[in-house]
Amino acid sequence: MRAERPLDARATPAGSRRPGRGFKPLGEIPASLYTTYAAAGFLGLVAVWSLLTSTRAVDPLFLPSPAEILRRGWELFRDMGFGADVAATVLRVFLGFAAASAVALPLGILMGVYRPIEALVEPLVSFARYMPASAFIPLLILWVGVGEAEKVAVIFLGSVFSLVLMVAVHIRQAQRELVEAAYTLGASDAFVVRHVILPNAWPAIYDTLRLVLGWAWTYIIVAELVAADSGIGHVILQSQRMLNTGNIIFGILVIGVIGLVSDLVMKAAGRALFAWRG
Amino acid sequence: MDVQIENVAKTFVSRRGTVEALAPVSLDVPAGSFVTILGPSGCGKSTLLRIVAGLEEASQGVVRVGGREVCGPGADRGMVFQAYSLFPWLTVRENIEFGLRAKGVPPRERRAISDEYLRQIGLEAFADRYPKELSGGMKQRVAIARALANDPQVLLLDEPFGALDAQTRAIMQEHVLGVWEKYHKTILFVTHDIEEAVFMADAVVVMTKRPGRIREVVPVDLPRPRDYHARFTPEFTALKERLTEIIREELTA
Ligand SMILES: Nc1ncnc2c1ncn2[C@@H]1O[C@H](COP(=O)(O)OP(=O)(O)OP(=O)(O)O)[C@@H](O)[C@H]1O
Ligand SMILES: [Mg+2]
Repeated sequence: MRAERPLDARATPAGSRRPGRGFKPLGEIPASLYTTYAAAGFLGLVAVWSLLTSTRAVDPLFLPSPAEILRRGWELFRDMGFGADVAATVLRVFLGFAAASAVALPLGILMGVYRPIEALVEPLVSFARYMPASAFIPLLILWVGVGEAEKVAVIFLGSVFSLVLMVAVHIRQAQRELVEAAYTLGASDAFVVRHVILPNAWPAIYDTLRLVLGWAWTYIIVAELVAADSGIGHVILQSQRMLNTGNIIFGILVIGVIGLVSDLVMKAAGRALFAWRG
Repeated sequence: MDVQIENVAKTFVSRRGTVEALAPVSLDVPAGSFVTILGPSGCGKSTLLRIVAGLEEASQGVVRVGGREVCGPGADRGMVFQAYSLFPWLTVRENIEFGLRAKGVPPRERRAISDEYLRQIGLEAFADRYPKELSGGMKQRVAIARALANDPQVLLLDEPFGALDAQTRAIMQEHVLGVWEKYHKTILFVTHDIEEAVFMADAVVVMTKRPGRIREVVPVDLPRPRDYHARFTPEFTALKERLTEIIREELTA
């Protein structure tokens, strides 16, 4: 397919600038064009939103204009110490996620590598996974109170079970041929685990961590909405009580921005870490 | 080391039934000889090689390598797979050093050995590249170097050149022959290609349809060292013709 391109481009010089370029199934576009499209998507949203509010199509009490929201956000940071709330939320997510990873990685790896451990743990974890973390909040409040431990525990419960299962699946995905090649090169069982099964699984495990970090954000906000005296979720709830939609929307946007930035950073780090990937 | 295959048979049992892959096979491969195995698709060639490698357990019979019974894979029997099977997260050099690392060879020594093999396969410039950046022929050269760097007594090759174009294939054949003449490993080499089987071998083993048995062992007495000129001799052509006849007979029987 590729080979034909230069040929017909030479035949018709304009051929390479056909309209609809990039709309071939699974086609590629240059990075700059990609950025342009991405920016257009955001600007389009802001434009529609501005139009709705400036024409008074919606009541600004329920949906303030973008400019109004930015102004509210500035006030939040300046007068209400919103920075501390953001920091509190980020710290909770980080702690809960780190705790979940610290348990799920070793357990998932052992489960994936050794069948007996899988048999022992898998049914339990699969069962636990279907119990929604948010349903545990009342119980956790009774157990550990409404402090930081409860927030971290919600995130932990919300991510750890799925993480264990997905890590185990990725470990299992080791190509049989590569494992066999290692054995014919004289590798011991431990060497195969360390130098074939693990490196083979790291990229997929890393992507899973990225995904689960996204979920952790959902859980923390739920936990903060239920009971908290700081954090983005707490601010959102307070704003609702005072009918302050601008603050609510700003809080939601901040969550989105933090999520997006952390995901971009992890994505870039992943590309650097796993440069060997095709 | 010599390889003795004694009455080795394999039946795969699964929930959906049993497959008799290999009927009892006996074969003696003297130390330092080059034996190629020809046979119809699905006749159990890979299975036989995997049993010798210790990757598959025989349903009956034993394999002895250097007099010792095989009971699992080991560094004394290197294997080259059809699909290359390089470790994608390791560079070319690290791939070649994999077996040495498993054995605990210190880095300095490993490097000296990988340097030698990199030179031999002409990929010094690609030492620090990842497999995704190599062509099929380059990958296969790395796979062979990886097996050789480990200094196995026996080398098992399962259709190693199946995916290569004719020219690359011919060059790789001469490369493997060169390596064999230099190190005198015992080689078992599975192929679909009659010409390849004759060109490389001291003896060509022809197998029957599944369940595979040995139909005939055809000795190849062409002079060594061989290069592409050998292909144009009447003896070569006569052997090719004979093998073609045997295989046609087998397929139409
Ligand atoms: N793990 C397995 N489970 C069940 N059946 C198998 C398994 N491996 C191989 N077989 C069967 O055993 C038979 C021989 O397979 P094998 O791969 O040894 O053939 P082959 O001679 O190498 O064929 P080809 O030339 O196509 O590579 C086939 O019928 C195959 O379906
Ligand atoms: Mg095969």
